Amino acid sequence: MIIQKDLSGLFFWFKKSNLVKIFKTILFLTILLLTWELIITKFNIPKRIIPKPTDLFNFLQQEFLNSKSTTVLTKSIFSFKDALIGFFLSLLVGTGIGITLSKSKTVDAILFPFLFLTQIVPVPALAPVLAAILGYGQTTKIFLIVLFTIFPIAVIIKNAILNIPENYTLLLHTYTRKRFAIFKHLILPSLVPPLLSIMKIVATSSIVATIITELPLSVKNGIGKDIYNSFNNQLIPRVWVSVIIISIISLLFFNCISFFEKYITTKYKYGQY
Amino acid sequence: MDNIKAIEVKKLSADFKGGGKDLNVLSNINFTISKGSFNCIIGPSGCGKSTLFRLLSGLPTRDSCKISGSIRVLGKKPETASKHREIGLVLQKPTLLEWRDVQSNIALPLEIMEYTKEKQKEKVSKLLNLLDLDEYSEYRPSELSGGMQQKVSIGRALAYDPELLLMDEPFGALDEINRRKMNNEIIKIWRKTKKTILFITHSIDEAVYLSQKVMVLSKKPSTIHKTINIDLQYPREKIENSSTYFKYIKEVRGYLNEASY
Repeated sequence: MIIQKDLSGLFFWFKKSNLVKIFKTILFLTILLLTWELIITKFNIPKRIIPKPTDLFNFLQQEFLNSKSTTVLTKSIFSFKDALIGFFLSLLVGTGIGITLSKSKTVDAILFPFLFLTQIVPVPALAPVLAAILGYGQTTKIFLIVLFTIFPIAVIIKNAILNIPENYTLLLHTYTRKRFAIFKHLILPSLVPPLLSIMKIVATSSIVATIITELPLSVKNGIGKDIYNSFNNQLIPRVWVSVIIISIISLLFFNCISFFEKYITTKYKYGQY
Repeated sequence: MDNIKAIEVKKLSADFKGGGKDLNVLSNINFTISKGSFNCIIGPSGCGKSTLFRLLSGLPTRDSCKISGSIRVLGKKPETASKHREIGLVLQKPTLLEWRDVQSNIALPLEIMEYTKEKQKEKVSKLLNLLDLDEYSEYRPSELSGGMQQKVSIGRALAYDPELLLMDEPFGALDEINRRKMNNEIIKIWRKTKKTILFITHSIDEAVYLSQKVMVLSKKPSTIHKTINIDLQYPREKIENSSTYFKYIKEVRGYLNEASY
């Protein structure tokens, strides 16, 4: 864990070295796009195999300047919203399961195999089964996202609780026998760092899960479904742009959480012994 | 009221069941500690000091532990005394919460016990003063030295004003110089607060330097091998090189050697 000593408020991210980093990234992207364009033009690779950056920009222009109500961006945001719901629900339920598992070895032995099942059953295959029960709408979609992402959350939370040094639990035990007080003052603060790092993992995997689950389900307006349809209709630039947009959203989401993590761990030092 | 002993242990035995064979950790331990006194328990390592500490503090022991005999802390069962907040614990490790600064670490038990904010503030500032920690009140535990950290944990144990302080090798990790500094500190605190202290240590010098009574524990199955009353006046900085002091050290060492074989 990196702890910056010269931290000054929320804006410590905007440092000169970071600006240089941003400039380098932009430079790299420009070179990449130019090379890409040149190679495709030189070797005459058709648009339906790999589109050129200019094809993508043309598509973007059509898509946004013709001001249709539903663009790939609005669809992406629609999917992102579902991913967010799944993300928070998964964190909540996963943390709950993790805490339950840590409480008793018997419960752990009974519940863990079922939890593990969520990891080994392929989600797209499970989708029709669940859809038959919960319907083909948003409920099933969110449920699948949670199923897809919950396993690491529960496991990491369980281990974090079990790894709290014994002397801390003993000491708090001499102050109170109320479980809630111990939870509030010891367990909850200890869960902050593992929760923050697991949030980074789940941030991206919840988006992946959303895209995957949209294919077998008939949720309209989602970008996953749109990618699938565009591919079937040979709208390759549309597929590419959609993938790029959703990746950018994913990246931004991930960065927001990393930033939040860095800020919290540096400022509050939760869960450090 | 005054004839109630701070600790009264009678015929205490403890057995652990594990791996098919019984392990007799404590056997027939008898001792009493009067209120307001400073007592040390010393014994060879792995002699069951920590088990005894756990039993006295009223903490839950492992299910496989079988206990017979009686322990009375201030006339009550240790669990009851602990519930009544009459026992303060200082552990081997400072066990401070890094996400709280010094003052809120000391306030932790008060917060848990739902003291009012004003009361918490008042108690904490008194303790910071007693421990000479005023200027460090907003430091994080990791910014303090080991000795200071342990001082904070003593402050935390004193926060809710328990009658009895149980200390389990609190200065074991400190170097000689800092250990002696802390020894002087704890004597100062004891003389000011008039608490009853039971101090577990494996250092002969520390035991003699600190206490009025040293109990030597034998190796497993442990029993009280010998009790030595240390008849030296406080503060002890000046008599640390006197012949009587060395006589006591020699005596305790002798008993400890006997107890270890």
